[in-house]
This record gives sequence, structure tokens and C-alpha cells, in this order.
Amino acid sequence: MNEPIIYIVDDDPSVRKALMRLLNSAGMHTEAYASASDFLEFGNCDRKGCLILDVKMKDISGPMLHKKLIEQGCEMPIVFLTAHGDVPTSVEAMKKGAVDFLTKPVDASELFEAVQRALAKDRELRTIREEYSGFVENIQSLTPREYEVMTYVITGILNKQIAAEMSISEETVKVHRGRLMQKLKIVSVAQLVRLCEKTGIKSAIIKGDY
Amino acid sequence: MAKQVFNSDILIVDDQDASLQLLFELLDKKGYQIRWAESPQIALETATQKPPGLILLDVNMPGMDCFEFCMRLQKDKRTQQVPVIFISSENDLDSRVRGFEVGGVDCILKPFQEQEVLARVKTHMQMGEMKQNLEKLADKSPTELTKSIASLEKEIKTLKESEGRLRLVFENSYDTIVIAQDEVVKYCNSRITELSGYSIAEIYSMKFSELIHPDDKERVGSEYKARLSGYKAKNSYSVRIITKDEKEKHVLVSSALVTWNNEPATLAIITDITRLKEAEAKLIRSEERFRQLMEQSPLAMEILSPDGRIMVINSAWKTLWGVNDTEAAETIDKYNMLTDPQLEKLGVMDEVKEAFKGKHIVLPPIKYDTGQTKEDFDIMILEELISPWIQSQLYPVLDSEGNIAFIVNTYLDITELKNAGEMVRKSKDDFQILMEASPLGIAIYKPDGKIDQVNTAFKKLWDLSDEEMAVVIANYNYFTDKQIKSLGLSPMVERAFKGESIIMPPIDYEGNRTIKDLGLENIEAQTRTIQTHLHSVKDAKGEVEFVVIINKDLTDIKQAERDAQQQRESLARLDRASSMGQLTGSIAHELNQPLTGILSNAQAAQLMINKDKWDKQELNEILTDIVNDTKRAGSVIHNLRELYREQKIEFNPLDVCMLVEDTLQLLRSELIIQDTKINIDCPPSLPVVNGTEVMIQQVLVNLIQNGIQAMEKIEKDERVIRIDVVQDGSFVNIAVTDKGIGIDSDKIDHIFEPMVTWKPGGTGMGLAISNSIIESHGGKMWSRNNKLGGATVGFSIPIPAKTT
Repeated sequence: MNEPIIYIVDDDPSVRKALMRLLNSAGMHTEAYASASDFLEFGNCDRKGCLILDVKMKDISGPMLHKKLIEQGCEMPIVFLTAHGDVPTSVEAMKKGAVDFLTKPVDASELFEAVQRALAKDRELRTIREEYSGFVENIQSLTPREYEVMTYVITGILNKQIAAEMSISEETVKVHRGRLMQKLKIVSVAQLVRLCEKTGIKSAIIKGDY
Repeated sequence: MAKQVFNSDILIVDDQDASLQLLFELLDKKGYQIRWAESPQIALETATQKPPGLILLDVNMPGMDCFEFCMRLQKDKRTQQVPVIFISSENDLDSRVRGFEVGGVDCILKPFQEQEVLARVKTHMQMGEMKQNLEKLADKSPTELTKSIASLEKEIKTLKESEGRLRLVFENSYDTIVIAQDEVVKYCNSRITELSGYSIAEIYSMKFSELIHPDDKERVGSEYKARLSGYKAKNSYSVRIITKDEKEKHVLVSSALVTWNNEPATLAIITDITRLKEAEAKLIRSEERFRQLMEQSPLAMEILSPDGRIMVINSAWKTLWGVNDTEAAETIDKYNMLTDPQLEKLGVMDEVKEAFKGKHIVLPPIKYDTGQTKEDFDIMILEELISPWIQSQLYPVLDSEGNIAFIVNTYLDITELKNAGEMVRKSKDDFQILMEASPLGIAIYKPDGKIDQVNTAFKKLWDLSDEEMAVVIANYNYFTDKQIKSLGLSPMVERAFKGESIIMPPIDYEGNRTIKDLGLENIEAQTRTIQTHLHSVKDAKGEVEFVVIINKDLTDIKQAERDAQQQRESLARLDRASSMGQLTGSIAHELNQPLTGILSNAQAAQLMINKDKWDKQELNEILTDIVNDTKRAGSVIHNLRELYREQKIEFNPLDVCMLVEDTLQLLRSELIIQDTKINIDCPPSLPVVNGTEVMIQQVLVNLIQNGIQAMEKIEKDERVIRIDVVQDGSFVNIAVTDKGIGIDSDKIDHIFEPMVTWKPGGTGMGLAISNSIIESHGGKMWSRNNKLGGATVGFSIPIPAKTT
């Protein structure tokens, strides 16, 4: 359960089989699907791992599957494999968050590298997802005042300025700030800003001209 | 004729030159010696000097009265015995009577009747001679007289003997001889029984008139009376008698007065002419019938006399020459008045003469130029004939005795026939003109296989001058059958002579070689592509009269075709190149797929070996997969090369279904990109076709790409291309159907023409090339818009005749 799985989606059985064999020989676990719809039906997006996706396939193409996965909130990193290096398709894929866009025939080292990157990304994404889900939970424990201070903190202004804005003492701001950081298990303002942004918490509107 | 010379000459006394001349000629011709005197004085003088045998004396003479002249003659002893014949005009009875009174022996009436003059002159000359002889006798001695009497008695005896012979003759005569007195038969021979059926005894007891046909009795009676009265009537006459068995017979009676037992009697020689009469009647009837027939005949006829004159004509004759009765009579009169030399000039006399020798003569057709005839002889009434072409035939017609009686000349109007002939001749002329004018090389072969003639285009085709052509024809016609056969055309000519029309495939003739074969050296001739047609031309009887060989020079056409073919091929390459651009991605994909497999498999194996984690079976599988992928990549490259290569048509047996599948492989990526589904309906039982794989693939690619492009604007899940492969008789049909926008209706009839396109960015060459490819395979392309949208474009490839 802890080992990541490399999902291979390619409608060419020969390619499918060779890729599985290569990755397996490198000690990786693989699962192969002959079509996008097969993957959508049987694949598990929650699993640790990544997706090696062929671009040109019958019915549902690689980029289309990518789109569908995003829609479903599946963030599994994707390494695209294409036999036909067509620039617009690769740009579009990268924009949408593809880890790499490799052209066939692909060298083993190149492939392994991309897979490793994808797996790293997967790990990263998993960490972020865990952090985020804690944050959303912890935010409930904040007092209204602490929440308010937080909205000012993420604007990036100084404690003194927050105090002025809130018409409270600088000391009070410091106390609230310390407590909310503690409650949210956050170490830096940057992390807070990122998480708030992700959660959709809006920063306070600053009146003063700083 | 030798002149019969008489003892005495004739003295003509006449003052009128004309009649004197006439008499002179007449008598001179008969051999008499003639003297003549213009007046009685001269006549008297010459007569007394040498008495003539006879004197012909004109009654009306100047100077001396002719009667006085006669009396003077009488008085002179020398001239006493000379007989004088008066010549008198018919109505001068007085002088005739007087003439006889003064001693004239006879009288001849003017104008002269030749025969009469001669007869009378001859008689009186003889009488005069006899008189002279008698007188000489009288002068002789009595002993001589006694001698004469003795010889006379001897003669009487002889006479009696001859009477007996005569009786014998009588009895044995074929004719019936009768002697009658007062109509009572006194003597008759036995022939009477045969003639009349009565026995001789019966005949003796009856009157001869009883035998006579009642209608003829009166006539015979008057004849008889005339005979009795000494009237010298006809010697014989025909009369009908009734036989005992009451049959009618025609007899010819010749009668004479004789003395029977010192009484006057009538001798009648009766000849049975019944059969003659019947024949005559028949002849008359047949003559009538002939005349009727002639009259009714639509054929113009005329009867010609031996001297070539027209005797009778019929109505058709008048119609033919377009004359009425009067004009006809006038024309014939004029014609008959022509002199013999004129007739000779008309040129029919020789034939008429021949016909009178009994030959049936067919004259050559003559175009009558009436104007000419009129000008020459002034006979034809009409200026112009409607039917100028006439064929005449001369038939001799025999009489009952088998002699040629006359000639019938028939005129057959052959104008129409002649005109038809003219037309045939003219159409032959037209044919000649057409043949000459034809741009096609034409040679005409006769049934013996020899060249009869060739036209100008034929010479031009082989680049031969007239003289050279003549040599070629002569050589060809001089060839043996074997030699001709080696030239290759002969069996075709033979077939054509059996009535076949043959169109030979175009043949490239190496000009120099062919010319050399035909016996001409040192002549440069181009190599030519010639298509030969052989047509047999039949005559009216349906028999092959000759064979026309038409050489169509396809050299320029063939060259143009070759040029066009080259152009098409280069265009095809161009189009392939442009379609290669479109296909590059697709092909790269197809190539990269197996390469991916190969590379990945190989590297996997490397990893396994490096990690020392491998088993033999797995490595074997890996290698097998690598081999397969390599082959796959190889075939992709092979296909690629085929598409780029300059193609030559090389036919191989093709499995159409497999070909479709292979083609789809080429198009896989494109189909995926365009989200186009393919449905194939290809029965596995189809026969193989002959073709060049890549070319047909090219066509299929073209059609499928067109289909894909036609569906760019429609919903993705509706983008379906259906490929139907079916056998249709001796063809396999492959149809590609899309559900796209269809073909512009105004272009659908032209989409196989070059530069016609209905899609944006199309070169308009794809279907044109496809079409040329399919045509080169012997197939056809077609297209149609479908009712439910989209179009179907398909093609057919022939199935080889013997597919095993």
C-alpha cells in the first residue's frame, strides 16, 4: 500500500507491455490500461503514484483524460508520452500541470527521471493536501478576533499597522497573532498566506495608506 | 445481162424527145437494136434503105400524116411486111381506128406501160419474123412442100402419141382435171373422187355446178360465161366446193376453152387449196393478232422492211417519241424518204441487214439526241426527249414458209436503268473522292488479297511518294502468301473477307523495318503507332467485294497520351508529397510506436541483466517482442518508401480486406486526432484483385482523408466513416461513406477532373490522381451525396478472369 504505482495508459499493446516490463525491471510497480475509459473506471486516483499517458488514443485521448481527471479533482501527476511531438498539445498539457511530455521512443533513464519527478510531485502534493486539510480543520478553533487578526496578517502589514487598523494596542495584536499561529500549527506567514489563499479566505481591506 | 439480139431492129418514129428517149432506153435494155427518126420522111427513107423488124410510130407527127406514112410503107414492096405499132394517147380513139385501117398491127397507149410495150413489141417482132419465114417457104419448090407435108404427118402421129401421153399425164396428175360442156362433166380424172367424195360415175351424172358452194355459184357462172364469150379473164380463180360429206373445200380453178368432140368445151384444172387457204386464214388471223399484240405492247415497236424503212409502228412508239398520229406519220415519212447513205449515217443499217440474215440483235443503249437527229435529217418532231436512253432490239419475224418477212425493232426505255447505273457510277466516284479526301490511310484489298488501291493519306502515313507507293504495292502484290503472312496482316484480311469487321489494337510499327519488309531500301520512315480497322464491303448479292483497310495514325495521340501520363505521374508525386506533409505526423507516430516498444524492451532487459534479476523465459519474451516491433517499424518504413517512390504499375494479387486494414494503419493517428471512427464491412470470401498495393492504398487514403475533412465541422461522436467492400459481378467495389458536409452539387460531376476541389485548401488533384490510378487498373470511380447527409465516393477494381 505504501509503494507508489505507475499507471500506464496506452492503446498500443506492444508499447504497454514494454513500458511495464521496463518499469518493473527498475523495481517499480505498474498497472496498465488499454484506454482512458478503462483507467477512469478501474484506476485509483487516491493511490500514491503517477500516470504515464499516451497522447493519441482511440475514444478518449491523453489530454482529454487529463482534463477529466482535473475535473474530478484527481491530481495524480502525469507524464505524457507521444509518438508525435506536436508542440501545441505539449504546451497545453504542461499548462494543465503535466509533469513531463516525452516523445517516443523514450530512453529508460529519461523515463525513470520523469517518473521520479512525478512521484516526487505526487508526494509533495500529498503533503500539501495533508497540511491543507489540517488548516481547514484548525481554523474552526480560532476566535473571531484571532480570525480577524489573521485576515490582516495575510495582507503582509506590520503588527503596529494592524493595531491601528483594528484600533487596538500593538501588544494585543501580538498576543492574537501568536495564538492563532499556534492554533493553526503554522510556522511562517508565507505558509499562512498560501493556505488562506487556497482555502479562499480573503484578506482584510486596509484603510490606512502604508 | 447479155443482150438478146434479134434479127430485126426497131425503128422508132417520134418527134417528142422525152417519149423517144424512154422507148429507146426500154428496148435497148432488152437487147433490141434501135433506130430512130424524128419525122416520117426520115423514117420512110431509112425504112426503105433497110427495112426494120418493127416500126413504132407516133400517131401525132408534124409534117407527114402518119397514115400517109403507113400507106407509103404498104406501097413499097420492101417495107410492105414491116409491122407498124401505133403510139397513141389514151383518148384518141379515132386515130387508133384509122391506124388499124391503114395496116397498123397494134396500138400502144401513152403513157407507156413498160411491160405492155415490151410484150407487144416482142409478139409483133415474132409474128413479123414468122410471116417472113412463111413467105420464104411459099417461095420454095413443091418437092420441098411434099417433104414438109410428110414431116407434118409425122408430126401428127407424134402428136397422137403425145395425146396418149397427155391422157396418162391427165390421169396421174395431182390436180383434178375436168372437161365440161354446158356444166356437164364429159371427162374427169380420178382425182375428182378424192376432191369431192363423189365417184366418177356420180360426177358424170351430175352438173358440175352442183359441186360449187352456193355463195360462189354466181361468180363461177359469170366467169364461165365470160370464158365462153372469148373474154380473156383471169386464168384461174379460187372457189369453194361442197364435198359429198358436205365439207367445204377451197379449190383453185384454172380453166381454158377447148374443143371436145368438135364442140366447145371447158377444161378446168382444179387444185385443192383448202389447206393453203386455212393456212392463209391462220396467217391473217395471226397477223391480226400480231398487230393487236404489237399495238397493245407497252414496248415501242416498229416493223422494218429489208431496206431499213419503217413499215408499221405501234402506239407505244408514239408515246415513247412523244408524237401524235399525224406527227408520227410525218416522222416516218421523213424517215423513209431518207436515202440509203443517210440511213447508213444513222448507223442502223448494218444491224438491220444482220437481222435479215436471221439474227436477233441487241443494240447497245443509245442516248438519243433528238436535236442532233433533227439537225442532221430534220425528222424528229420533238426538241427533247423525256427518256433519252433507249435500248433497241431487232427481231427477225419469219413467215409461214420460214423466210424472214420483216424485222421488228423494239425500243426499250432504259433511262431509269441508265440513271440508276449513272448513280452507281457516281456513287463510286463519290466513294473515290471521299476516300481521297479522308485523313485516314485507306487501302482496298481485292478478294485475292492483293492491294487494289490506296489513298493519299495512306501514302502520307507511311511517308511514301507515289512512285514509292507503287513499288510497295507491286511488291506486296508480288509476295507469296507466306511472305504476306509474315507481315502479319493476312489472317485479318482473310477474316475480313469472310465478312468480319475487325478493329485491331494499336500497333507500333517500326517504320524502317516495315518499309524494308515491303521491299524498299534507303527510305527513312518514322516509327508510328497505327490502329488498323478492316471492313468488308459487300456487293448487291451480299458477297464481299473488297476489303477496306483503314489505318488510323495514333502516333500523335499516343505521344500526347504518354505526355499526359507523365504529367499525371509527376502530379501524383506532387500530391503524394503534399499528402506526405499531412501524413508525416501520422507516420512518425506509427514508426515511433514500435520503436518505443523496442527501446523499452531492450532497456528493460538491460536493467534485468545489470541487476542480475532475470530469467531466461522473460528475456526470450522480451526479445520476441523486440523482433515483432522491429518488423512492424520496418513495414512502416517500407510503406513510407512506397509512397515516396516513383511508382510503376506492377500488378499483384491483392486481398482487398487486408489492403483496407493496412491502409487504416497508415491513417490511424489521423483518425484518432480527428476523433473519426471507421466501420469496415469486408466479407472475407472476396476474390483477390490484381493491382498495385500502394497505389490503391493511395486512393483509399485519399478517400478516407477527404471523409475525415468533410466531418471536421460536425459533432465528434458523429464522425464515422464506413468502408463497404462488395463484389459486383466481375468487380470488387470499395465505397467510402462519410457523414460530412457532402460534395457541392455543382461539382459532383467534376470532382474526378484535375483542379476541381470542394474543400478549403484542397489541391484538386487527389481525386483526379485517384481516378487515373483506378482507370489504369481497369476500374471506375464514382461519387454521390447521400440522402441522410454525407457523401460516398467509391471505386471498382476488376477481378481477373481466372481467379483460382
